[in-house]
Amino acid sequence: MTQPEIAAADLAIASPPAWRAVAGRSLVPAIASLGLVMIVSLLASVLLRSFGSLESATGRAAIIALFSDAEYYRTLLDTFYFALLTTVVAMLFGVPIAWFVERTDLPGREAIRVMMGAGILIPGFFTAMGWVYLAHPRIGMLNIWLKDAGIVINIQTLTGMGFVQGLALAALAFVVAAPSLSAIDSTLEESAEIHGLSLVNRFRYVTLPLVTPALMASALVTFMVALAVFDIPAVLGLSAKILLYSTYVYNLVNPASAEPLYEIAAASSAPMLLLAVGLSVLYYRIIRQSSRYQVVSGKGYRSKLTPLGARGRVGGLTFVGLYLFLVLLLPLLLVAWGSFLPFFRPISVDALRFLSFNNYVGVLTPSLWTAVGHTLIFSVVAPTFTTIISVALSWVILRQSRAISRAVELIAFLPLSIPSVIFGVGAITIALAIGSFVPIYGSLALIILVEIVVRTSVATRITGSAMVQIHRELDEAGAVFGLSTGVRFTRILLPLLGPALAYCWLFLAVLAFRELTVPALLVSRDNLTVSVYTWGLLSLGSLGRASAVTILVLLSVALLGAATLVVGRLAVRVRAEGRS
Amino acid sequence: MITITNLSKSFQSGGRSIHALKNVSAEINAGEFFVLLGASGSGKTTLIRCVAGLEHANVGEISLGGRTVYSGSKQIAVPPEERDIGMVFQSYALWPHLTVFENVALPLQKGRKRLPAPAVKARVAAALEAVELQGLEARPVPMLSGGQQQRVALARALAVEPDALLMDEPLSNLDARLREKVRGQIRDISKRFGITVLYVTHDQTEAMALADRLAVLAGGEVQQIGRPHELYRQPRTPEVAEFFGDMNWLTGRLSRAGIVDTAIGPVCVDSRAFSDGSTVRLGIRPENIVICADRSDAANFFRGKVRTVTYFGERQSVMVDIGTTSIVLRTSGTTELATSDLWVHFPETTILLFADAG
Repeated sequence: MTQPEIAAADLAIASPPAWRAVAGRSLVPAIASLGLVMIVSLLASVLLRSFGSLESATGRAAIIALFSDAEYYRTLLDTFYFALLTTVVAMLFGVPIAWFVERTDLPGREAIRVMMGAGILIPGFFTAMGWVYLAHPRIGMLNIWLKDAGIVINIQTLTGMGFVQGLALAALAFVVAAPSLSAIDSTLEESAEIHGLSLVNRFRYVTLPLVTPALMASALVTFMVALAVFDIPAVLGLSAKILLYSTYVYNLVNPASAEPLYEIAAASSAPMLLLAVGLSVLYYRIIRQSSRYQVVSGKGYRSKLTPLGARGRVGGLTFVGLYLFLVLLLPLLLVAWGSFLPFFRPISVDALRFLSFNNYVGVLTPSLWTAVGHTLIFSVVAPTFTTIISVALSWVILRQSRAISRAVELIAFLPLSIPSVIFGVGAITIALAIGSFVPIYGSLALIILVEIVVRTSVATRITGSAMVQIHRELDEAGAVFGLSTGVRFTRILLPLLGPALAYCWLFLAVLAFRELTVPALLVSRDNLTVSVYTWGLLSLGSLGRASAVTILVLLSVALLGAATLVVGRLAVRVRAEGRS
Repeated sequence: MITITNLSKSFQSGGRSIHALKNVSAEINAGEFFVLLGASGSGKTTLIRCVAGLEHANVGEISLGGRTVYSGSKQIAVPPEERDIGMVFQSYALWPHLTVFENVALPLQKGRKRLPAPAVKARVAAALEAVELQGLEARPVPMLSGGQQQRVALARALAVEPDALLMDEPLSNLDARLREKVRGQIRDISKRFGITVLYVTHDQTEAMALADRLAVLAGGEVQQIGRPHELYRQPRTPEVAEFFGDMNWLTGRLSRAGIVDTAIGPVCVDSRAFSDGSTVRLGIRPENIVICADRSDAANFFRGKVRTVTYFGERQSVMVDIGTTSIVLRTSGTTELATSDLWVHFPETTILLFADAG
C-alpha cells in the first residue's frame, strides 16, 4: 500500500459513512462544537478568574482570606454532611421502591414507576415550602401541635434539610437504579438456586455483586447532585443562616448589602469543580463496570418477578405510600392550605373560616405577569437550543471515531456532575468581562445561555439513547436506494427521531419552567422568572402568596409533565418499532 | 456485471493492522447468481459493503455494469446513493415509520431515477406481486411477520431494477423451514428478472442451493471460486473441503505411484499431482464411504468395528474403528445395521488429495 492510499484509508475509517448524511462536513459538527465551547468556556472562566485574582495584591489578599476563613471550611463540611445524609435518605427510599417496581409483582408498579419518574420534575422549593409549614420551629403545624409537650421538630437544621432533600432526590436514586435492577437476568439467580446456593448465599454471591455497580452509581449521582443543590437549602437554610456551598456562593454573588464578591465566588468554586470532575471519573468507572455485566445478561434475557405474597404486597404499598405522602401529598396539602390563608395556621375545622382567594388575587400583579413572560421565553428558547445541540453532540459521539467520540462525550457530560452554580459563576465572570461590548449581564439571554449549558448532558443522554436505537442499516438502506443526504435526514432520521426529540424538548421545558438555581443566581430586575419571584415572596415572608404562585406553578408543571409522559410513551413505541 | 479487482482493505485496531480483505478478485457475469461464502470474520460482509459503497477499500477496483465505482489508484469512490444497486440487508432495514407501499415506493420517488406517480404505482405493484404481497400495501411494516418483512425488503430492491442486487445474509433471521421456502423464491425471482445477484451467507447449504457460482472466503482471502459442483468435488484446499461437509482425514506417505501408506494401511488414490515420497493428506467424505458385507476385488476395503451409531431418520452417522483409527461414515437411515463387524470401502475416485502442510 502506498502512503497516500494508507492516508485515504485512515480517513475512510475516521468517518464512517452512516449518518454522514446529516452531518458530514456540514452544520452538525459546527453545532456540536458550539455546545462544547460553551461548556468549556464557562468552566475555564471560573478557573481563570480564580487564578487571575492571584495577580493583584488585593485579589491575593481576598483569596487568602477565603481559604483561611473558618466559615468557608465549615460550609464545605456542612455541605458534605448534608450531601451524605441526603444520599442515605434518598437510597433508603429510592432503592427499595426500585426493587418493588422492577423485581416484584407489587400491584400498580407501572403507575409507581411513572410517579417516581415524574418526581424529578417536582420543584424543590415546593417540597421545601411544604416542610416549612409542617416543621418550622415557630409556625410549623407539628410544632404548634406539640407545643404543650415541649418538643420542637425543627426542619431548618442541617439534618432537617438533608432529610427533605433526601426525600426529593429519592426519585433520582430510583431513576438511576431502576433500569439496572430490571436488567438483571433472573436465570442467573435461578441457576445459582439450582446449583444449591441458599437464599443468603445467592444474594451474597450473585444478586449483590450484580446490583452493586448500579447502586453505587445511583448513590454517587445522588451525592453529586446533593453537593450543589440549591432550592431546598435556599428555602430552608438561608433564613436560618445555615449555609451550604450553593447558598454560600449565592450570598457572595447576591449579597443583601455590600458589593458582590465575584472573584471570591469563583475561587470558592474551584475546589468544587475539581471534586466534581473527580467524582464523575469515578462514576464512569462504575458505569463501565455495570455495563459489562449487562453485556453478560444480553442473550436469552428473562426477568422473573418475585412474588410478594399478601403481606409483602401490603408492606410494599404502605412503604411506597408513605414515601409519596411525605414527598408529595403532605407538602401539597399544606402548601394548598397555606395558599388560601392570610397567615398560616394548622389545618383545622376552626381555621376554615379564614380561607379565601385573596392570595391568588393579590399575587396577580404586573410584576408576576412580567415574570410569567420571562419564564415562558426561558422555558421555550433554552430547551430548543439544548435539544438542537444535544442532537449534534449525540451524532458526533455515536458516529465519529473512538478518540473524538470519547473526548466529546467527556465534555458533554461535564454539566451532569458539575454544579450549575459553577456554570452560573462562570457566566457572570464572562458577562462582566465582555459587558462593555455586549450588555448581557443581568439579561434573560444570560440565564438562557447557562440553562442551555446546564441541561446539555441530560438532553444528550435522551437524544443519544434514541439515536443509538435507530439501526444504522436504516440509513444505509436509504443511501443504497439512492436517497440523498437531505432526503434521508427529512424522510428517515427525523420521523424516527421526532418523538424522542419532542420528549426531550418537553422534559427540558418542564425543568426550565421550574428552575430556580440559575435564574436566582443571575437575577436582576430584567430577568425575573416565576420561580425567582416566588422565592422572593418567600424570603420577604409572604408565605401565603408564595404558596399561591407555587400551586399555580405546580398545576402548570403537572400539565406539561403529563404531555411529556404521553410524548415519551410515543417515543418509546416508535423506537421499539425502529428496532424490529 | 460486477468486477472486483485486487481489492484490499486493512485497518488499525489497538495498534495492530487487521486485513479485512486481501487482494480479492472476482468477475460476476450479468444475470449470474453469485454467492460469497465464509465464516464470520472471513471478510464477506466487508466485501459486499465495499461493493455497495458503504465501506471503502484501500486498494483495488470495483466496477458495476462497466462503470468504475471504486478505484484506489484513481481516487474514485462513488457514494452508495449514486451506484446503481439494490440491497437486501440482514436486518431488512425496512423504514419502520412507513407502510409496505411507502417502503417500496420511496426509492422510486426520491431516489436515483425518479418516476412519475403512476409509474411508481405500477412498479411497486409489480414488485409486490413478484414477492406475493399484494393486498398488504397499506400495512405498516412493523406489523408484518418476519417472512413478510423479508419479502418487502426483496420487493424494494427489485423495484429499483438495479444493475446489481446485493443481499447480506437475508435469510438469517428466518426460521429453518421458512428459510428453505424463501430461498427457493429468491432464486426463482432473480432468474425471472434476469438480475445480477451478489449474495453473502455463512451457510454452505444455502450457498449450494442458490449459487450459479460461489466464492469461498477465509481470512479476507478468496480460497476458491467455482460452480457448486466444482467446489464440492474438487476443493483446492482442505479448508474449502471442510466448508462443504464433514471430512475424515488420513495422513500418509506416497510410497509409490497411487499408493499412500496410512495408519489404516495402504490406500489407493489418484496421485498424479504429487511426486513419490511426499507426505499427503487424504480427505474422505462420510457420504462417499460404502459399507459392505464382504470385500470385492477392488482396492480400499478395510475391516472395521462399529463404535457408535447416531440416527437422524433419513440418514445415520456411523463411527467405525479401523484398527486404532476412527472414521465417520454416513448411510441411509432406512436399514438398520445388522452386525457390528463390517467392511468399509473408499471408492478411489472420491478420495481428495492434498499436500500435507505439516
